[in-house]
Amino acid sequence: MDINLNYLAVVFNSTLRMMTPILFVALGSALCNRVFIFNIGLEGMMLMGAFSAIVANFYTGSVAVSLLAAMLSSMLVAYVAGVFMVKFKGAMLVVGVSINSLVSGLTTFLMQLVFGGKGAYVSPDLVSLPKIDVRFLSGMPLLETMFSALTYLDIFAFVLAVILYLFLFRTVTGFRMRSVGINKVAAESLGINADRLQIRTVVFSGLLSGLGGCLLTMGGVTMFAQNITAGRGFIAMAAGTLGAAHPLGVIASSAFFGLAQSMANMLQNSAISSQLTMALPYVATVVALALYNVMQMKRMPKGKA
Amino acid sequence: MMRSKLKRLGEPLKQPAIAIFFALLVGAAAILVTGENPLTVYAAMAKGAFGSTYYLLTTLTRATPIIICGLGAAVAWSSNYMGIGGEGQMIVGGFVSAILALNVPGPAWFKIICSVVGALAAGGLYSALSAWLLEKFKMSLAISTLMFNYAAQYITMHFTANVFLDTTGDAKMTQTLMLAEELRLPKMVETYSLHWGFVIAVLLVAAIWFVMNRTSFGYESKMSGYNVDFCDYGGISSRKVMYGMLTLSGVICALAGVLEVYGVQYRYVHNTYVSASYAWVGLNAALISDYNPVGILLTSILLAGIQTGGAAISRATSVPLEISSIIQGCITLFISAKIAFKFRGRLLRRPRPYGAQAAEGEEGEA
Repeated sequence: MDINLNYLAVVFNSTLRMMTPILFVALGSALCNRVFIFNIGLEGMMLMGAFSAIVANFYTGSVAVSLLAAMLSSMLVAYVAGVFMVKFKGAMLVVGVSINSLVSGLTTFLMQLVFGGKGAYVSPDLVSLPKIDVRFLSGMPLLETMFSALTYLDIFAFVLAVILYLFLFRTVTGFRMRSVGINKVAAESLGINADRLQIRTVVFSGLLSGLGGCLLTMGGVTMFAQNITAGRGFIAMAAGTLGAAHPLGVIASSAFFGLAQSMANMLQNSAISSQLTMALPYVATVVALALYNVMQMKRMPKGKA
Repeated sequence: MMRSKLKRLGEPLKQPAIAIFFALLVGAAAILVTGENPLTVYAAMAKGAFGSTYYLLTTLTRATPIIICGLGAAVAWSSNYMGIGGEGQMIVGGFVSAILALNVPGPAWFKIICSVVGALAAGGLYSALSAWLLEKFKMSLAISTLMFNYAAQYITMHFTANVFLDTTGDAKMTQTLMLAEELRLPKMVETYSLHWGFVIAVLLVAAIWFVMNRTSFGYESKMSGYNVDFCDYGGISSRKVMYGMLTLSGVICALAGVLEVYGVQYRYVHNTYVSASYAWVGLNAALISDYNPVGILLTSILLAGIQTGGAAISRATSVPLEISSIIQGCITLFISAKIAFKFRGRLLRRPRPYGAQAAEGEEGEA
């Protein structure tokens, strides 16, 4: 393997493209963590968005309609999840597991009705998200490689992280959300409608998952395959935790998982077994979380950890 | 007296019955979308699940790993350690048992003992690893077990594809060689798929019921399920319960993989447990039946029936097989709302005088 600057630029580019779908969902997970919701259903919401985007794409061939369909369908799933978690006081893990198996079944079910078969659906008629034109960087080939083939949605993920950071720490609603997460009863005693805030946060996390799912199926290769998310929603949850539920921290942790995935893809052409490199992102998640938690525990005063 | 007893026995069935009813309604809506008549489809489904000896025994074969994974999930979840690693544990169990049975030298009984003990130990250790991460690194059990599911899937795939691959056949499957005839678990009825693993599963139901309800270990784990902090205060080591229950859960789920290898495929085939999602259905069965072992037995057979019935109608009608996942996801989703019903019940009781309420408080809530 020839490691040079150009190779690093390719890795950088592939990391960027791998991390942004995770980043969207991880931001949703971070917001849920802030209002004390452990939302394992993000995997299902992401899958719903990924599927709806391709269905809308199939029928209309419009990028805008596909994006809208992805967001709305994921928000609908998220609303059901939120109502069951908050209003009906269902155990969050149970609701999440049910949502995931429900959506996995539903998308495969509908896939057969719409596309007439299981497995994967690819068609030249599908449109993909518009790519950013990087020809203005042609003077600098390294930069051109680093930022080639990105969509506007990729860039928006980073912008959104900054916006959400400002929202969470500089607005009244953000302050209320964090207070609900710290102590729901105390927050309610101050007149905050905590239930409503929690449900709205879950619905918003659904919107973000929808965008992440849409980016997954329409960003690089435009296609839908059965259970295409393959645990990315779960990885995003881990990223949310690893980033300390802080929007800017989540950028860093998502970048880490993006790197692990792009390394897995890169190493597929090398002598290392491709099956082992596929296990890499998942093992890396556990190791990174363990290291992060050790650092957190060291920082805490003795006896409290 | 008799009536109140009946009512008490019927009480735990009420919630699942309501949930199943509404889930079938949602399923009916999905069937209507495909243009079929829900009633005829459901009737065909019931027939395809339990309608003949062949279908019934197929359903029971399918139920076997679901029952066992359900029990594995139940022991961990009922003691408040909510891992979702059943899938990985089952993969580890199946893979290790196949590899050992194929490669350990000696007489058949020795091979079987080595392979089964080795597989169960591997499943237990694998699950204990998540417990260790929880204890030492405060890592969320849900996240570590989920990540390990994928890691186990790919790592066993690596070894199956690159070390132990069956290159004798033409099949392009990632699978090991087949077990020798004398090692295989015999069928219960000639020419049907049901194997003696089903009986092992039923015996395990009784064993788990006994452990949970009649031993101090089971009592301690139940206390841990109610309140972990209180349990330490009361002199029960929550650490011991955590390691014990998570290891036991791993051993049980590994057994599900072992029985699939010895009773159904006679080899380790990559992706079979994942695509059938036995472990997830088992977890659903445990949730629906509120971790009651006998309930898990019945629920697993029902869920397996929905799946074999779903497969039958997908052959005969235009309704896809996944109708079963939809119904099943809805059942657990509706079941999860049970706390709300209990909560409402308590609110209604509130206006009573203090004494009456205190006496009622004795019942506690699960």
